[in-house]
Amino acid sequence: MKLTSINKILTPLTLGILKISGGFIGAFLLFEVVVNNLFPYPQDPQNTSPAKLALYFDYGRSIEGKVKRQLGTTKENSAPIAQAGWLNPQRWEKLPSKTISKNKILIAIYGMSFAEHVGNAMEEIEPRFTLRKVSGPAAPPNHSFAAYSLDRGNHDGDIVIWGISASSVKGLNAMSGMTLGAEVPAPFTFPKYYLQNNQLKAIWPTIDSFDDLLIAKQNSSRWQSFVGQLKTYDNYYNLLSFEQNFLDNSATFRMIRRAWTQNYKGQQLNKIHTSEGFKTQWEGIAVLNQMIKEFAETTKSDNKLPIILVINDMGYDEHLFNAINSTLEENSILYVSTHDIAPATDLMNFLPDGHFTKEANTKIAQEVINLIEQEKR
Amino acid sequence: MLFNSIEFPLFLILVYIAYRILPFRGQNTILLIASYVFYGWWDEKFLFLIILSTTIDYWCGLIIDKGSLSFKDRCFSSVYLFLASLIFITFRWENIVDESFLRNLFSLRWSNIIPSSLSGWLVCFITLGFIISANLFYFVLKTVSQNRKRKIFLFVSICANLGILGIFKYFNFFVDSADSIFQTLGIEIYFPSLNIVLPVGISFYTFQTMSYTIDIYRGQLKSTDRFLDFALFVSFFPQLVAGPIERASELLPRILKPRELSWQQSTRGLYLILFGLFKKIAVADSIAKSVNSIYETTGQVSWLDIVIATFLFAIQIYCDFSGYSDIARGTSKLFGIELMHNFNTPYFSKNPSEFWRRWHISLSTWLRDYLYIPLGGNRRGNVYANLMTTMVLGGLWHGAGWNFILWGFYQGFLLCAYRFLQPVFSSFNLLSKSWSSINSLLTTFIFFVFTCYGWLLFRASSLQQITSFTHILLTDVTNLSISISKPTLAGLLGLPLLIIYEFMEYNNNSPHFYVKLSSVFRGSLYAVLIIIMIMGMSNEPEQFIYFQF
Repeated sequence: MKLTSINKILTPLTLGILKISGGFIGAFLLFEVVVNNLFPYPQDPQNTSPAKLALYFDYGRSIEGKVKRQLGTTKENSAPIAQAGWLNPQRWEKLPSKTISKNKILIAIYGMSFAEHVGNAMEEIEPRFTLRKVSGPAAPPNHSFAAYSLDRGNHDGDIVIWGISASSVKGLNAMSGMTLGAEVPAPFTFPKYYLQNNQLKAIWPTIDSFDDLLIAKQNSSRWQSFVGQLKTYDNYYNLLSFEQNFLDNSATFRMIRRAWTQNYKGQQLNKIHTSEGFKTQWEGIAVLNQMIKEFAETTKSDNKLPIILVINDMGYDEHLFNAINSTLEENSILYVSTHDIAPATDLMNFLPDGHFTKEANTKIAQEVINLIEQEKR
Repeated sequence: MLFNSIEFPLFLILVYIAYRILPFRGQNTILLIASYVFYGWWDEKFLFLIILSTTIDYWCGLIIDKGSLSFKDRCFSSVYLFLASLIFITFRWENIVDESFLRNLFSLRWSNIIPSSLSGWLVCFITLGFIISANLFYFVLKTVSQNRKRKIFLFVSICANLGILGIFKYFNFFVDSADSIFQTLGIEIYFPSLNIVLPVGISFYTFQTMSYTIDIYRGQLKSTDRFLDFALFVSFFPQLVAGPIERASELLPRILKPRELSWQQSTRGLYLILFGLFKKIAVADSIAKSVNSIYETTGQVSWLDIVIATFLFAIQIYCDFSGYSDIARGTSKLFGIELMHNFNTPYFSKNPSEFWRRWHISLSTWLRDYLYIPLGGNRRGNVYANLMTTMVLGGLWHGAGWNFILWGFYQGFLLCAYRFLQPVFSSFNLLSKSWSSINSLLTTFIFFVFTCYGWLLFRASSLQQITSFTHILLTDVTNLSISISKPTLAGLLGLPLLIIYEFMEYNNNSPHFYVKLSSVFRGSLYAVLIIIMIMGMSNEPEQFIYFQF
């Protein structure tokens, strides 16, 4: 049928609607084709530096989809991020565990990248220090507390530092880096702690090593059992963000899922934190304070010096310090808080990715060193 | 409820379906209920304030116009107010509303919502006392001459509205200011402060209701004896919390008579909603983080940081506020009710006078008609004093803070200066006539720079920040280092698109210019707006800036 005859059959209004719909659908299809062809995310798990736009349009892929893509058939051909952060003492065997000479001081430090950067700065400032750094990507306090607990007795360092960052405290409600960092998930897992009669209790994840994860990838029932655990205990889990399905192929839907995931995470965060600080009625704060107390008690009982590194990162002002200050004071626990060294309200202290600048890390590291030297005297 | 929240589309669809099914009276009732739900979503307690304001102005309007109230008018509105105090203030809904509310709806213990102590009933008793006193007061005043009655009840209406506004918005500000002045003078005086939250949109609906009684007093409007329709006029949800501030003479007749919904009105309404959401989500929220990174830091900032952040704030506040107005107008069109045009490409203005004819038109015309002209306007008294008073009070309307007063003062100064120098401006051209478009562009740019400095005053978090930023702007021009956060991709794509769109709108001198584009191109434009908006949806949603006013 010729176009002119179609024009005669349809009313101008219907024709107008059809043309608008055509333009609308056409633009969407064009967008899908352009994004999926010009900015594809590399399928090779070992590729750790995808193009910025490829990464941007992939943020909204399902968590399951992204994690499965990170996994190869073996450790060697899997993505480095998939292997990071696992609570596996065997992985820490290569880390320094003994003081090599009398002049050297071995320090164990637990935490996340913030803590690790401070550790690096300490080594640079003071060559006598050797650091045993155990961390995970954006690891929450429950991860580092579990790491500390598992690592007790594996080294003879005199000083134990636990770095807690304000932005990672929300992870007390999570069980894996998958749900916590949904945009770029790190699949490592960690226990969720709760209080029972003022005692810390832990729920351990059913997948607790990278090897387990590789097996679960092939074993659907094992994977589902882990997902079931996330559904029950991980507050950041939600079906739309997590489950892999055909919608992963649509750039538009990936963007919608990204927005949904951010919104969901924001809602969860609003339940525990406001612009005024962490909500004191949230159980996580009591759990965190109890963890700090136990950390200090057990470290002291091992004849080591416990130090808490309070990392008040961007967007959190002094909120973390305010949430744990009373426990630190009441139990005479040594600490260094970044809020009066590199305030979170001064953007000059931060890199665009939210980490502290080298100068800020040096200042914080110097404060930690001063504290250690003061205690050694 | 926020226009950019997940709940709103669902809410709107439900209300729209109900609206289309129901006859005219039912339509108004469903819109009234929807408006209360929309507002009560934040805090149901503040609905009582709206109903209090509604009742007082309803009574005052009728008495000013007709000199008396019928038994039905008094009785119905009194019961309505009493029930509002009971339902919204006295009952303790928070005792039963939690996450398990819907699951356990039928096994709830309703007795939990009724206060067990006498103090829990306090507001209810006070309301009852107020209603009885108001009725007695009415009988006393009934005998007074109509002329005096009109003045008394206009006074009552204005005092009640400004009283509510004063207590909830300005009380703590004035008390704190007085306190700091006395402390500076070394005088110790105890000033009580109120532990109250600012009700959302209070400045908007109090101004709107005041226009009702003032217009009746002036003889420009007839009062209505339909209480529920009047209640809808006060609380109509699309424009309740951030305007446009509608005049009773415009909005009330549209509410009182049956409406017909046209295809054009619906499609234009949907487009306005889409474009408003685009402005808010894709542009305003995408650049908010960049602005905050400079205005909320305690660290060092450079000249270039301040310039970029202030320019971005000018865009942010425009997109945030005009986006809200667009969504409000679009939503209202879906119910066949037209709201006034609130923004008309304001950043293309060439002088302050033109700016105020294009920016927040509903407020500037309100201030003109109810403040500037009664003060004497251009004809009586000192016109500069009138302008300054109007703009300073307009600044204060925006918020209880010295920076808003300063901003109002600055706007007043610009208007006065322009008025004083207008003869010079009209005879002076930067370039010869053959270069008129470049001349016009230059004038627009220069005035935009003045507007942006006004936004610096408006956005600053303290007077110290105003001083330090101004100092940097004047003395540190060579400092071009940058620490401002980058806008998100949605902002980077949305901002140029918006600038082109606004330019075309200005050039065509019509907000409907896009209708002239080919249908296929229009379809593509809608898709592009939606795609960029979806990109922006990943940004942390920011509350509409004007909600705090």
